[in-house]
Amino acid sequence: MGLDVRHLTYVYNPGTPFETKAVDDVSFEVHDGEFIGIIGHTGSGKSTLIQHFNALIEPTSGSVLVDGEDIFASKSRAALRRRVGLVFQYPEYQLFEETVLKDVCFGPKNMGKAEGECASAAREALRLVGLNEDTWEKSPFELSGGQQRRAALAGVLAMQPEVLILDEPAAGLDPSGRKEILDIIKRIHLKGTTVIMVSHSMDDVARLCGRIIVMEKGRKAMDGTPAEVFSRVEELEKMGLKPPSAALLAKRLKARGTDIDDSVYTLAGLIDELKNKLGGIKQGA
Amino acid sequence: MPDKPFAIDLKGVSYKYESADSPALDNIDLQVRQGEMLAVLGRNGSGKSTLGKLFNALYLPTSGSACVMGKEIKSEDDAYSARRHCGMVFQDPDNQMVATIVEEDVAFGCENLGLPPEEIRARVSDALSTVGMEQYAKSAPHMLSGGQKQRIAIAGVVAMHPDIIVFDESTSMLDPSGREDIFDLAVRLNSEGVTVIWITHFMEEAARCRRLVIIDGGKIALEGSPRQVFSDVKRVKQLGLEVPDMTYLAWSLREAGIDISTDILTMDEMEAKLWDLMSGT
Amino acid sequence: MLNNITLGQYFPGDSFIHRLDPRTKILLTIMFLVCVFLSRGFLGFGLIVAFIFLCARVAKIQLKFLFRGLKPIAIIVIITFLLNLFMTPGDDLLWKWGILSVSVQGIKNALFMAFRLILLVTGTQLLTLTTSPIRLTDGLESLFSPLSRIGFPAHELAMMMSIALRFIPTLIEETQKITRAQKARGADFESGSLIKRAKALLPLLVPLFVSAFRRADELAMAMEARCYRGGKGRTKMNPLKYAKSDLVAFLCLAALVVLIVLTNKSGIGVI
Repeated sequence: MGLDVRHLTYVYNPGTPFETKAVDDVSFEVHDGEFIGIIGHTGSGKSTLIQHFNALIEPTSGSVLVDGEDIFASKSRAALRRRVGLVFQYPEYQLFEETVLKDVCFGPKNMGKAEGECASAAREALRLVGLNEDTWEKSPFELSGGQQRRAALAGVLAMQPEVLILDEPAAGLDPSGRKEILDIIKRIHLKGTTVIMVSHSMDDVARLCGRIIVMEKGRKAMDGTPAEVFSRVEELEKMGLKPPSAALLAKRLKARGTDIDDSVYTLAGLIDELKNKLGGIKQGA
Repeated sequence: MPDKPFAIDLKGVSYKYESADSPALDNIDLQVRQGEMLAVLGRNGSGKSTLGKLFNALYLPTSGSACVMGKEIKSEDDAYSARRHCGMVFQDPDNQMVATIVEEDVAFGCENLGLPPEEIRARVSDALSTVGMEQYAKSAPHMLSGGQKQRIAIAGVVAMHPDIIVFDESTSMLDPSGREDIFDLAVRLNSEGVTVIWITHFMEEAARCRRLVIIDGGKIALEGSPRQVFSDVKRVKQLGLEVPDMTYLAWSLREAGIDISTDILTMDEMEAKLWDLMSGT
Repeated sequence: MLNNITLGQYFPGDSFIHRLDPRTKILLTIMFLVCVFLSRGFLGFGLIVAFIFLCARVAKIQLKFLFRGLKPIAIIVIITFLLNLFMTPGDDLLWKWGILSVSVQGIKNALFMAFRLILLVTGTQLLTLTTSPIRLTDGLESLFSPLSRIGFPAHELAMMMSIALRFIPTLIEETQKITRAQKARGADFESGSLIKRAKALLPLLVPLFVSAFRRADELAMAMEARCYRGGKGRTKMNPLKYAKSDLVAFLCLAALVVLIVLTNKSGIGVI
């Protein structure tokens, strides 16, 4: 499913002294099956931007088209909203039901699905996020922080969205919790879901995304492959963003005059590159 | 130089929550010297936050002895004086502010100490300038960013003139620039003589502390300088944690048979080492 | 989103009235209420109205703010008016239908009672418009503190009130966030019968309560970590102090009381 964002602008508190343009004339297209990372400094408008994608916020001007249909103009807004799943920051704060399974059923139930269908969608989603069956009948509030996060994610996945949007899905988790949740998102993408992920972590974005959009002061500052975006190290640093350490190190070594390929931006990529370059040394030594 | 006295001295400390079957902390021996900057690491549920709350007597040990600035905590009164010595900054910036005006919030601790009004005012304005928030003295907390709120929380602790400050995952809800701000502030306070205990799960922060302990299953699993601890990459990963990127890079290269030490922590070190290796041919 | 939220109805300013000690203002408000009840006629009311206008002028508060507070009680004023209009027995009947009757005395009474209500509310408005909630809390705490000797929790109540004020914006923001998150899961808060809508609030209320309890828990811990042990032995950064202006204000109100009593005695305009 394609998503077409056209000249989207959103103004907070219009006509008051507090007026601020949170999103300023942003346009881009999302193609089926993409994994897009949206990065930017706090207050760059990323979170406001993504809330437009499933019609939670109405733009001041501009539109979002889902398969060619404007989600704000359309009468079938609810139906279109279902096709775009949105996982907020700290989504565990939305858990409310008596059991994990019931909570995950909430979304499908709101879509008007039959009881049995809801439960099977919920079970599938819970398996997808790796929550074992022994947690399903527990209260969501008994789970650990990482498990709660995954249960909340399952709550959106059970609605079987074609596009999944996540706002800082790994925020506040410990390293293994981070890894777990990011691995799950990667799996979801591999199963064919289009994914848009807002993140502060350049390393996560570098590792996972095929395309990166950089936001600054409400505007789209960059849009390209990770290699393209992370080659513009100075510009990123000017925006207060820290490029992935692998990209930085490669750039520094290149600047010293080594023949390293400085288009690498992931740690794994850099390791391979260095192994190649240094492998000869080892044998020579 | 003779070793400084202990700011915190835990001997055989265990702590068990009333509702739990097994202790959250099990026979911990840990000494922190005055002026030290110690990082405490551990995965969620390892017991590191419980440990933090023992440092300033929010919890009293179930068994063993806990001394803060040389005084053992046995009663609630001891606990009160321990908290005068040892301040604490928590994780969620919203949940540690009591007042609707920034300066009133910073004053809260001093008011609890029963200080005279003039002294409170002087301390509050000092503390606000220490954290660089003077111009927000009259603001409402809910208008500030997460990082700014955390700075106010720190000012509230600093105004009480503590010897020790425990930061309990104080950066985990902040964005990268807010995180760096708060860590830098902690480093500066440490350089001014405050003993800092930095509880975190960010390896980059831990790498910048002088000493670190990793807690796992309520016990101290690893202890030493960041260089020592992180060079044991496999063990650190077993404990559910990561090592800093540069250490991981060094370790991976070493595993591939390249002659490089795994005690590398920073990008500068890595760059220099790789330059040596690459230009050596 | 919340940048322009105002807590209570406080109207910031730096006037003579704004600067008065909050305890003074609370006590003066009580004296003012006494004036309103003492007054037995329209001449007294006239004096009180003049006094209110004068205060508003000094505090630089526009009259529309003063009268805005009447909106919520408009219905009560109207009911009071009608009840008195129809229910007051009198000899000089102007109109009668069944048990309902209107007399000259009734009209007078109705006007008098409605006027009294309006004055009570506008007078107290002056207090809340010129005193920030936090100063008001301080004032109440200080006034009630003598009662703490007999076990009245003056400090605790004040602390609860100021924490509530502190967390209102946080909880509003949280409500917005959770509402959006549940909407993203297809929740419908707007349509359906009353019962259905009440039920639909559950996904909003449960997380809100869970979060409020978590916050309360953490806040209690954070307060304890900052050596909070209740009101005992606590000092204040800005302790309340009476000044000369407070005395002036007291004298003004005393003068008002005397004037009202005099008008009552004179019998002019007394109902």
